[in-house]
Amino acid sequence: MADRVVIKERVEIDPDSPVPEFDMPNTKAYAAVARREEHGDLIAYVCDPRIPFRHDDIDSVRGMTGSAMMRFVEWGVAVWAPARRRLPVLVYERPQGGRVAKAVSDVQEPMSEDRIVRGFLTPAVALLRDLSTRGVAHRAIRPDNLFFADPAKKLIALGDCLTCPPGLYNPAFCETLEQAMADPAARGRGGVADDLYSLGVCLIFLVLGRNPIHELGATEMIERKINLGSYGALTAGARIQMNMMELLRGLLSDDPRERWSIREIELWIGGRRLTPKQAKLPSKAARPITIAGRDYENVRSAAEGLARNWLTAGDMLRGHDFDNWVRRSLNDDKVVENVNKVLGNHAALQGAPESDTPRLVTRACMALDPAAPIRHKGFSAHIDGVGAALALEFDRDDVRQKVSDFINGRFVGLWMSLQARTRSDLNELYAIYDKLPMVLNQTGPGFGMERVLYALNPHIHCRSPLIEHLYVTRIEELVPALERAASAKDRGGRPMDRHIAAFSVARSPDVDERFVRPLTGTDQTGTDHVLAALTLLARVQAMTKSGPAPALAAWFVDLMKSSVNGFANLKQRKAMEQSVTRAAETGLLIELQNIYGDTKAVQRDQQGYARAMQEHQHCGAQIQQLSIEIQNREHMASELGEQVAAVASGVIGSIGSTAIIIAFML
Amino acid sequence: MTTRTAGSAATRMIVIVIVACIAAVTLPSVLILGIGMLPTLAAMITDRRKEKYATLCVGCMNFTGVMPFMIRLWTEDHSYDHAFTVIADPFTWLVMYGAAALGWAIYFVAPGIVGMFIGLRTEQRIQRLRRRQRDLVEEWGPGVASGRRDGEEKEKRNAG
Repeated sequence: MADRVVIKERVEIDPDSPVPEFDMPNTKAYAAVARREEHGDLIAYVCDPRIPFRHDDIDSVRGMTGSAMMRFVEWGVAVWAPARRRLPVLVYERPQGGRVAKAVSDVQEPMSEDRIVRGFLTPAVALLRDLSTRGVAHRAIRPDNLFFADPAKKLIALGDCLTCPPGLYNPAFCETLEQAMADPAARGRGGVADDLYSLGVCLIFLVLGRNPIHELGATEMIERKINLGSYGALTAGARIQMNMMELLRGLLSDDPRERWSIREIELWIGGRRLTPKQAKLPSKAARPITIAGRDYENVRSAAEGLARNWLTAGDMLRGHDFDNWVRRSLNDDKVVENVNKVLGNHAALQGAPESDTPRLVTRACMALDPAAPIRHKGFSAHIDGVGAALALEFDRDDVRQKVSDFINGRFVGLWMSLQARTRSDLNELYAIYDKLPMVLNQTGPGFGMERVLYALNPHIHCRSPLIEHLYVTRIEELVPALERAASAKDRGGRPMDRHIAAFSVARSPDVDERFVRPLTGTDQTGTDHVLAALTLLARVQAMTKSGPAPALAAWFVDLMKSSVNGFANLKQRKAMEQSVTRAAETGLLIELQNIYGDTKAVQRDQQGYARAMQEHQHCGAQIQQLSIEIQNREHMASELGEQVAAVASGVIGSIGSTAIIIAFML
Repeated sequence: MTTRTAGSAATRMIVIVIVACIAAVTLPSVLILGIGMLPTLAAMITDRRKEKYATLCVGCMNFTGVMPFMIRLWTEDHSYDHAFTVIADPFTWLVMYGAAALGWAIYFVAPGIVGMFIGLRTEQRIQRLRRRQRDLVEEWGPGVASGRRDGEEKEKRNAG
């Protein structure tokens, strides 16, 4: 029986009480209770660590009142004993009436218009207005994420939207064309217009009691939506009351400019009734264009066909047929202008090298359908969704390659220039994308795809195998996490890898590329690499004031033993060992770094060693010389002895003579 | 050339005349000096070295031995009788020839003493140099003697 998990002293979660009826795809729900506040029953969603949750939007959703959405209570990263790791946990108030539909394929009793409007539409629109004011979109509005808020099942509330990236689990029929065309993980934040569309899809479900086209695949669904319009595709000929038809046509408009706004829905709820608008279908070309053996009659479906057949579409794109079709059959000046802008004239297109074909296809798709996501080599993403897509499948080589090609293609600026509406929130992202190719194409630690991962996901946890289980999301937590890893009995390797380096640079303004470049050396096993790692982590520890880390310091001391042993001067080596031990005990990596990073000491040692060798040799030579002198001592002594004898006699004689003269004189 | 040769012959003649005159006047002293300095003459004859260290050594001591008797002759009675009396005294011979013997002794003993001193000093220097080498090895490790670092030595051992 596992201990209860406590989140911020407010909520207790029982890992032994799963609540499967509230599970989200890949996210399990558990029963929870509030410790102090008056809350009803709570449910806690224990997130999947592979799936980035919407950290940015938590504060916006916190404190939302009303019954239109499960009320968010608290969140935190906690030790989840069953998984033997730390995981993010999000806690909501538990809807009392259970789930509206267990799956999108469920069939149930249709609801009356009055019940839908009072119990779902009115509160949901108020909620979306509130969310819109806070700059957040729900982006998880789908039939199987609706809950009855009360036991009487009169009020319907939207379920959780924070445990996964926006729109990840929304089926293609719940998403606008622009969102459905993107890979589910790469749909981006979206906006209230996307929520309103999804709301329309849910209304169809509630009105009909079923989803008429839930069994269709995403590709077929998109084709139908393009060719028939969303309303026609989603209702599939089902009878819908005139009143609701007006609302649904408004919500399911495929042109975002014509899609009903919150204000228009409120007017409709207030009683304004207008004649339902006919869906505006894309204009047909004078003749279809054939792509990979299939005919496409309008520009949007042609773009979709090109994107799907990117491997074989190059020849068609270079041929006269495509140029003629765009300029003569489409009769759309805007598209011609876009094509001229991104592809140039036909001669330029034909002169492009074969290796540029995937890029040309991507550009052609952008020109034909600028509102669609960027589609390159089978990867279809909105620019604010690439980070989540990468985070979700980072371990897959093909996904990394796709994202790499996407970034190196430098499509973002071009895509933004084609947009009818300027989105100021994307400007910051554009600045990031502008720098990413340079970062991506450097191979050393601190660069490459890992750096892209952390640059595009500002709140994702560090994926280093060493500390992944500790769920480190902030730079302040990095050194304490490594300290814990260092304290483990089975620690091995080094406290540095590509993820830790990239995470440090991406998360800390105090750690720039000067700190990770030394990790790039070809010798990843030498002490230089360890010293570079130590320097980087010492910087992080110092700047984040994350406290002493004696176990981590001891780890570094182990790794740097050969560096100390490299000192030729035995006294200095011993002194260094003592100072290293003292520094390691303090747990301050900067102290160790000061010792190991003293290159002058190394130079002094090397110079001293060279001098010592020279002196030793000199002494040896002198000893040899003196030994020879000893052997020739007799000869030298006789030579010098005679001189000495002569001088001594002279001196003695002089003294004697002087004494004699004085004696006679007295 | 002829003038110069004639000049030098005249000078030599003058010197000989002067020395002869002085010798004639100081003949008793010359007698004692001549007899007393015989060991020096012998040393000069036997000394083959150009520097004449043996002659110098014996001569200095020999002259010191002769000097007291010369001074006695000069201060008491500078006559042949007195000179013969001095020469006839065995003590005079003992002193003059003893001093010469002391000169010889110094000449023979000095190289031995000097050799011993040189040896001692050289040994001390060698000891000092060996001690310095030991200090270097103690401070820098045995590699300093062989011109390799410890690490290199270990590698060498491992390779072996």
